[in-house]
Amino acid sequence: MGEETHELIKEERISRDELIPDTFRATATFAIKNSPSWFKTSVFGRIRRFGSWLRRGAGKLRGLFRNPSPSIRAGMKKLRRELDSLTTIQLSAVLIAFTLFLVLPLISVVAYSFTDPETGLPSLYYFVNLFQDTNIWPFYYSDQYQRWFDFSDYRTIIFGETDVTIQGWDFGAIINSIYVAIIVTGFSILLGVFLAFIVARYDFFGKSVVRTVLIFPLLATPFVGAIGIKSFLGLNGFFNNLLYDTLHLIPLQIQIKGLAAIIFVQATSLFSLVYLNAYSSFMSIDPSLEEQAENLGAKGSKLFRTVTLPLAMPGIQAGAILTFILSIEDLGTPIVFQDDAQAKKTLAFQVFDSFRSGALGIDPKGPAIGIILLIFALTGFMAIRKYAGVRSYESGTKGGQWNPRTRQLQAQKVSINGILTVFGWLFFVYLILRPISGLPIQGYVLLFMIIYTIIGRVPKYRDRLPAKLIKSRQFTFYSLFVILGWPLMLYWLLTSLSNVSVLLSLLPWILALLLFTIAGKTKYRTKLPKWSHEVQEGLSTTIILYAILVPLLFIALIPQISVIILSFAGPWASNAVLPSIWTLRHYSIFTTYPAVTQSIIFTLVYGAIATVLIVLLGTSAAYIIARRDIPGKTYFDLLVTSPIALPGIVIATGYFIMYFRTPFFPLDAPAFLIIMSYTIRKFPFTVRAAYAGLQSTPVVLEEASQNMGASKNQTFAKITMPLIGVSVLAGSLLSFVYSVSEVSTSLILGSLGPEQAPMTYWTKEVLQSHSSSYSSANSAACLGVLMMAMQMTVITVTNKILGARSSAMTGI
Amino acid sequence: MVEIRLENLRKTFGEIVATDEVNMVLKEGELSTLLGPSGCGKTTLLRLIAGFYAPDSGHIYFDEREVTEVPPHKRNTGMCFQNYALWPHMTVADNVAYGLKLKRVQGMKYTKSAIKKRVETALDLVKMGELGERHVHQLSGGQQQRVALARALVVEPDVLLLDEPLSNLDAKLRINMREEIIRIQKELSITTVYVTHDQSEALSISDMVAVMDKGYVQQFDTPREIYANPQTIFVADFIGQCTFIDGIIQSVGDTLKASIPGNQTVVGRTTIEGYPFEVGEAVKAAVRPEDLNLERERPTDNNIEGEVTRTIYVGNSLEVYFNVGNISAEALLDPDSKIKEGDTIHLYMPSDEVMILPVGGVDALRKVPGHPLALSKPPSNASESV
Repeated sequence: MGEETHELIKEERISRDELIPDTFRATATFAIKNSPSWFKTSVFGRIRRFGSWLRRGAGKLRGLFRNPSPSIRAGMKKLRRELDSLTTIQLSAVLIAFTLFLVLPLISVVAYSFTDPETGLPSLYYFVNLFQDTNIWPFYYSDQYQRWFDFSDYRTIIFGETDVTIQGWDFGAIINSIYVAIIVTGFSILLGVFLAFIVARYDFFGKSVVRTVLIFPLLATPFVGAIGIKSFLGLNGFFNNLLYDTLHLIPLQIQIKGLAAIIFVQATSLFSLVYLNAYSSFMSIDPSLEEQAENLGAKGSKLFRTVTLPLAMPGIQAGAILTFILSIEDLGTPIVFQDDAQAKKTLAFQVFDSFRSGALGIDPKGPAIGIILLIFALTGFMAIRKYAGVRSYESGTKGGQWNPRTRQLQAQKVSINGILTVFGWLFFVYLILRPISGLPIQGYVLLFMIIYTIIGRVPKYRDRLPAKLIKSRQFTFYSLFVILGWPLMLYWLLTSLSNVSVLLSLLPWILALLLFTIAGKTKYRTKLPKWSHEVQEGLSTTIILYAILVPLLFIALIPQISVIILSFAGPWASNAVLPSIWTLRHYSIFTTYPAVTQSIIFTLVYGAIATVLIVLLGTSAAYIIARRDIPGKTYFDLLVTSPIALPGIVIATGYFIMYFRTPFFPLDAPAFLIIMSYTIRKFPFTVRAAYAGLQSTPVVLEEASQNMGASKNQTFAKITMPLIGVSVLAGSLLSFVYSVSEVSTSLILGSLGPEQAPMTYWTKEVLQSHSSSYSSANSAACLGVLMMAMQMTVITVTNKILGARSSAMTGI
Repeated sequence: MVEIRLENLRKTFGEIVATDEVNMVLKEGELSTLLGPSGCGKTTLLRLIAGFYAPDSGHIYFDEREVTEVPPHKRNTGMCFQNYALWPHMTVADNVAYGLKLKRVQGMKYTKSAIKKRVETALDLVKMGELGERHVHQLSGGQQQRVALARALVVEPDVLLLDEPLSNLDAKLRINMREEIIRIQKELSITTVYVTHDQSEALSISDMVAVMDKGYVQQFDTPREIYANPQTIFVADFIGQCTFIDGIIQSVGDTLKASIPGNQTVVGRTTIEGYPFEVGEAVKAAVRPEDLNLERERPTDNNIEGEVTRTIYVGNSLEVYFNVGNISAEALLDPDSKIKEGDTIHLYMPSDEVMILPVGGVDALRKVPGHPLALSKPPSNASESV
């Protein structure tokens, strides 16, 4: 290589002054010098582009209003051509439903919060009030003292005698909600993109299990997970009992509460939104785009940074924005953690709180906060639609071979020396963390490891080591057992020298290890099971991968695991890691209280009715968007998919303002509006799924049917519906399960008529019942497990149906 | 400029053998074509050279340097994918500059101005100089193809790899681009491997053609040799038209004599130098339609009798389809001849235009002393040596 390029220079095809040294220093200086302009173009440029995109859209709309007649006339003409009887019915049904149960309630919230309560004229009265409430805005100017007061709480880590409490900063609800959402989004992006990349690009043992497991967090809403996490992260929870009381790995008990706990719960639940979208994006990248980059000299992180990531960016951004919105509007988590005053200072909880002052009225600050939520939601939603639109990257190329680019894990060849060094240091860390009285073994180990590492690193000494140690090789399970087994055995022997009984109990293990070693070295080797002594492709890499994946998956699944444990937990000895007795006792909650039993049935009924409505209306909407060319189609598309981002609490507020004490919403009877709220809010899932189905079904199939003499309606029933049936099924299952686990509208509307309230409302009631405070969390967990069981069934089914299009599950 | 040497390459995907026993030397500065029907293993072979696949067995050398295990980004090859693989998130200029930004010459990298200059030169070379700031989706198919070519060339690769680069273009553009590729390749004299399934494309641009079928290189030779002396029945059939008549060898000498159906005999030549024909061996006599004449030109000409089934007038000649026994054959005759369906015709073929081919395909070639396939191990052993 070197000589070759030298020739290039000699031949004067490259002149000297075209080259600059490629050193770290030069690169770094260059990067620093260019960072301001990079920041300007990439960050501000992006915001500016988004702004101008919004402006263009608004301009188009304005043009329509300013000079309506020609465009409307053309539109009407088009409309008449496109509308047959079926489409007319479909279109008007969807529009009526959305006007009555989405647009009008939202408008009423806006109108309400901008009205002066005394004069009835438009005013900012409520917003001014909002900024004088120190719960919401901590900076307060007092006329009396002529100065600013700051009610923020900057304490985050508080050390106690034997414990340390971690909470969030408290800047009042507005800033709290925003910074919590930003941190949650950040975590979700890191975790989601990392996992998505591994799963999308590598083949490894047990990948299908990992894939399935990774989807579970998506449906376990933060609300359910929070119940479990609260008891797991508490002072006497699982983690403290395991790490502090049992293993003595940490010096102090750790308690996470307030906003920090909310961040933890939301991040572990919502990251799967980013994961699923990133996964779909990675899978849909044409492999030749990456191969071309490799062909031109890019690999590893460079390839990822310059080609893979930018191509997957639209999907990741859409997932991240959705995470941000869902984090801001999440009501369930603050409710679970509300015994800590800090957790109440979030926007969603403040809206909820405004209802609790009584079923007869509403604290006007609720709608005003709702406006803030609405602004975030709408901005975010427009951004999602913009980025999701850019996904057309996928269809940019055609032809050639098209297998998603998955690779076997590369067999990293390692030497025995390398293994010994890594495990030696890990062992030393373990020794430090777990003090052993008696032998000063840490000192010896440290000394040995230092000397060993130096010898292994310095070439001069390294060459004197036996070649066997240094040579890179592929390991078998057999050799790993032997290399790691003997030192470990030696350590056990040393530490238990004085203890005869332990020594005796080790004897069988020593014999087994001895036999195994001998068998592996002699002709008996062939009698060993094949997997133990055959070279496993990429064995060491798989082990490393799992060493990273298992803790990550465990953290991601804490909500599910903790809720399940909690639901079966009997009496729990103090400081024990797990409950001493497992019991089914808590599950009696399903039958003991009539109200709870009834709420479960209600939930299923509400969900079922809503799903039927969603399927009817959602399929119609998807059909119109995909197949009909009506004027204003883009806006129609925006309208029917917007509920994915619109906060449920704001919609519920709108229902209350608009319909309370009308035939839609009689006193104590919210059932009808609960169903309608489910219908509207879970609408996008079915629309997106049906739309995806329609897009993958060529129009010619329908045209062929019409050519054979079927009318449009017959074609829709006989050809279109069966073809997209599976997609619609997947979408409707999702809509159903999200309806069942719906939190924000259920809680607000439910609190206005507990008799007809759904399950999530009663989960909250059970959780907060003070009759027997310990078992209330367990009973609530049982309801959570029921919900999770339903969700996981549905998700496994839909995941099978949707396959690589599983990002449709997030509704984007 | 390098010479590519492939030694006994084998690549399988599970049970499917994609390519096997490939032994070729692609000389430096030459344009070699991998030609064959879809699924013959030509793209697999190209990707083996590019490094996207590792062979199950065998070796790849660029000059003296073995690159079999070298990852793709260290091979210094420039590849054009069938679908162009232009990155949609970059402009044309960014696409072309990508490889230069990553290239290191003696541990040094190009300055910004050097990169800019080289990108401009490369775009000028493919006549795309004006369109550097465009995005990929604003380009037509032919323009995209040229950008892909510029991107592959700008890094001054040792080897240029082209995977059916013209398959997405319309007929006229295809001929233009074909000339363009030949011009650029000759101008820079880069060792080039070109994959195609279009035989006329292959014959017209190549210095050397490798005809592939079922994973085997059936013949690797100049276009002229491939046409004149096909080594297997597949090659004779795939390149140009050919009529095949079953026969049994009757005598072996300077020419070969074989009996064919209808108690007739033909005298022909072998195209495979050194192939040991035996008396009684089943063969096929192959003859190209344009080599059949209505009149005897030499006393040694073969005489063949058949019944005309169909005639097609195509202007400069008359295509005559006729049956010899139960084999249907084709001849290109004088357009003015008055032959019609149902006639019995006598045709003459010069004995040096009749090609006698063994029926064994590539396996028959193993019997030829000194043939690349005879040197390598048979496939059953090759699989064990993995």
